[in-house]
Amino acid sequence: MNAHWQTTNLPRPSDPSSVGPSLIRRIVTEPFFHFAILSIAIFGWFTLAQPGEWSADPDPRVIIIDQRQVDFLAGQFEDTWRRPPTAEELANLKEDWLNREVLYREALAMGLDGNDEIIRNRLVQKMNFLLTSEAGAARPEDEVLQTYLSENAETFTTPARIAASLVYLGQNPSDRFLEQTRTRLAAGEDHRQLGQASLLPTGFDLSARTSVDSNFGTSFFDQLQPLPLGEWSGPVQSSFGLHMVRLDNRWDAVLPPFGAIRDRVLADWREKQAERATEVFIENLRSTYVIEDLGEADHSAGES
Amino acid sequence: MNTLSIASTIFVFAATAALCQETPPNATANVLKGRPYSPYADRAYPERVYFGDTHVHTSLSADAGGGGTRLMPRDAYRFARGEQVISNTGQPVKLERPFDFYMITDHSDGMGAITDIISGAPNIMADEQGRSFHEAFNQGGEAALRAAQEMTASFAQGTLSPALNYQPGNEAYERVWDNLVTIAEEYYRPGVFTTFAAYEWTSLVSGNNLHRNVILRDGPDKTRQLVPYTTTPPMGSPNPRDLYTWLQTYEDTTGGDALAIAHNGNLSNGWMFSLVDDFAEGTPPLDREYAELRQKWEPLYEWTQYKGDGEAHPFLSPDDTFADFETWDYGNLDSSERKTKEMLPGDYARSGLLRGLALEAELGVNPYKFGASAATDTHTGLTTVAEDNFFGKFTAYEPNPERAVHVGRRFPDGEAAYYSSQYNAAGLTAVWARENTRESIFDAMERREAYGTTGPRMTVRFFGGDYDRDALARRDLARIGYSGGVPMGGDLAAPPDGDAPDFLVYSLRDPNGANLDRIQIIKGWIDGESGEAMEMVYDVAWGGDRSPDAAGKLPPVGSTVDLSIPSWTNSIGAPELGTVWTDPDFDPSELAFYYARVIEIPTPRWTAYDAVKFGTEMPEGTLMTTQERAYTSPIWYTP
Repeated sequence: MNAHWQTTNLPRPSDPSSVGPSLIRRIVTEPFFHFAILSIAIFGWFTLAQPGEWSADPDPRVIIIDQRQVDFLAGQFEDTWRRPPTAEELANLKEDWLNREVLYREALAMGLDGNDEIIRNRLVQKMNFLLTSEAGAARPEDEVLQTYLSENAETFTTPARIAASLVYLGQNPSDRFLEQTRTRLAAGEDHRQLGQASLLPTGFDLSARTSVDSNFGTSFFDQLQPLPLGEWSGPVQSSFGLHMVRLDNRWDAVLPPFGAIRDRVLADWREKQAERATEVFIENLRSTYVIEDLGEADHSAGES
Repeated sequence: MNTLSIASTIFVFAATAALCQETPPNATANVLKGRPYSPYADRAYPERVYFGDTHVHTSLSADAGGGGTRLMPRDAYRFARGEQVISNTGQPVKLERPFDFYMITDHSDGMGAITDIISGAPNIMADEQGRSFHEAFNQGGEAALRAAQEMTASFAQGTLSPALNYQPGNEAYERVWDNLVTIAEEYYRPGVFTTFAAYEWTSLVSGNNLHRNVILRDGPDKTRQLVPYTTTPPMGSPNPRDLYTWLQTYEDTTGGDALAIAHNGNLSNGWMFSLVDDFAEGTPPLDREYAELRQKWEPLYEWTQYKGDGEAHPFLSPDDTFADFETWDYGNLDSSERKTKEMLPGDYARSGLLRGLALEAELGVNPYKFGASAATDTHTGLTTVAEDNFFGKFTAYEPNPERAVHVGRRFPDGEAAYYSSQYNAAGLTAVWARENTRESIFDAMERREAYGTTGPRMTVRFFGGDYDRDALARRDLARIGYSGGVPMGGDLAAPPDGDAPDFLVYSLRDPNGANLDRIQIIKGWIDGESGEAMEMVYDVAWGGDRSPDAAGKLPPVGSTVDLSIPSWTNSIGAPELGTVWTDPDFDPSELAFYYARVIEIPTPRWTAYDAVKFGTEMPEGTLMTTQERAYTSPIWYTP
């Protein structure tokens, strides 16, 4: 039993007498709250139970390799090679584990784990991992997800797409060339054989803004989108020069039905829950500490 | 040019064979003859180029997370697909354009450390209390409320059961690899944004960089079956041969497909493209088995990245005006050993390709038959290759007024090895693929139909075979390219009449980027008489009114860079360049390779943006402009 952990102040709703029941219910039905609680509990388990198991060999000069450890090493090997280790390979693994365990214990005894920014960051990361993975396992009701979807519709909207045919006119086409091209297009000539020869594509299938602008420069999509369907317009400016354009197809932005994007909504929702759970958790842990910010008092002049 | 018709038939078959990796053989068997009337029907060659990063570390890598990187794989994917995120130092950051494909390649060593604590305790949630809590939470409402209270009470009293999770099927405590696979799947949108299960195998022997990124073509059903290979014995090994064994095991047991991409030969002190087996007793010469394995598993090499450009070195290529580009030649990765000039041929892509030819002449197999890719090796979870949007290699080098004036690393005697201003804001891999999917992009990498850029997204086509200059006036260059020869990454066989091969090369600048200065073709070959490795750089197409001087050198394109803003204009160079070039010194009996290098006009380097945005006083000698470039995969000629 670790005294430090008994002092942990758990989230307020654990004390119903101080808060109205409806508020409790509201808070407690918030999924992120469950994660925070569950995480605290798991976290508590690591602190309470695991050291208990480890204390089976309390003497730091005694190293016990039990079957579980051996199985773990063998399991790791099998995960890498898809076959169990041979007796010799397993012996090597044990040998290596032992050597590292000895060094590890000596390092701890010398206090080498202290004041090490990398170890500190690593432990912080483990805490975050424990927290967020709990939220990552949540299986909320569809209603929760549907509400989330309607509140974040923009995130899940399939962007507008256009398809177009293009004739490249060059950077500074003469009026005569422009008129000639217009006339030939009007006469129904194959647009792929008109204009100035170039490596630029002579058109594209239904494509989103990101794709169109990646090929022709920023804002090309926005210029094309409102053009009339099925007729030649332009010239329109891209980052390469001027183009005659025929818009061949246009799909507006649309929010797919929930069923089609449930997995995406779920993944996004879980991420948001994990973020909030982490915040709540850290806040609660912080509240169990007395924080004496002496730095601030020294700099009362208020510089940044 | 009918004299070459037999040769071109061979080229056609070679092209078809190369394409077969993408489609069932039967579907492409007669692609190029007896075509349907519709020029667009059944097109089997790749028409689209896709850009992405093949080398990204997040907080999960110990040297990233340990250094304060907080961004996790999901953050990295969100950023890569174009969303604004908050960087590790709290700064908002967004890409000008999203990437088409992306992968997280955290170090396999230490990847599991976070969860070892968890997987070491497999029996945790087997008991009653844990299960009932979990069920109650899943019910929600009143039941969850009671469970929460009860759990809180248990916890406070120290009677909490050691059993709050870990039942099989709960993905909460997957191991990190499973997690990475899951996240890659979550963000994969075929046709829009492709992700891969990947990792870095970080072999470092005596400080010499032999790192490889392993990329898997497959979905979770296969990629979950094995965990990444590590470099620490006895579980792992730093010897590439052992990695090859793992890759073979992956393919054999899962039926999947894998490849590896090495990087930073410039920090390997001669080991990356070694002539000997540095891992074997007595370092014997490389053998045929090694050559076969290396060629099989490593179709691409990372030519440029944050830690310097690895194409060529000015000492090795003194006649190449553009060889000294973002050069990092202080020593090996951890600066434990200084560089000597004897090491250089084993460090750079061009000399590696030349060594490959020499070894092929000796062993019958070319171990260093690699194409060109490029990546960042970012340790911030952010791929930022645009000079005006560079967020640095490590979290400590995210934008701040002092980041460009640090000593990056010192030698053991205290002398500075490199400065932080030397970080190279590069690069991206471009692949020619039919669609933006795992299969299509992976297969393009495997057949080396790829090129690397230092960040800009210029379009580059490079074909070798039999072409007329008239081809340039045609509007279907790609079709001509594929039907008259092989694309970048391919092989040319001996022409029966000894005619020199033609190369069709063209490039379109980045739509949002700078004009092109020139296209060059670099030829490497083994001289038939002396047996010496030779190289030659040809200017083959250029923008503006210039012509080569008496010595054959094309004058510089000039510069429009204004460092005070900083800015440049596209008033010099050309938005697109292309030509058909025939090797003037072709000897059909000599092994050779050819690749194209596309050079942009000068633009401000990231240090120029820092100088203006932060007012940083840059140390003397700091590079302030750059000429971004693209390197294509070579085309090899074998007699």
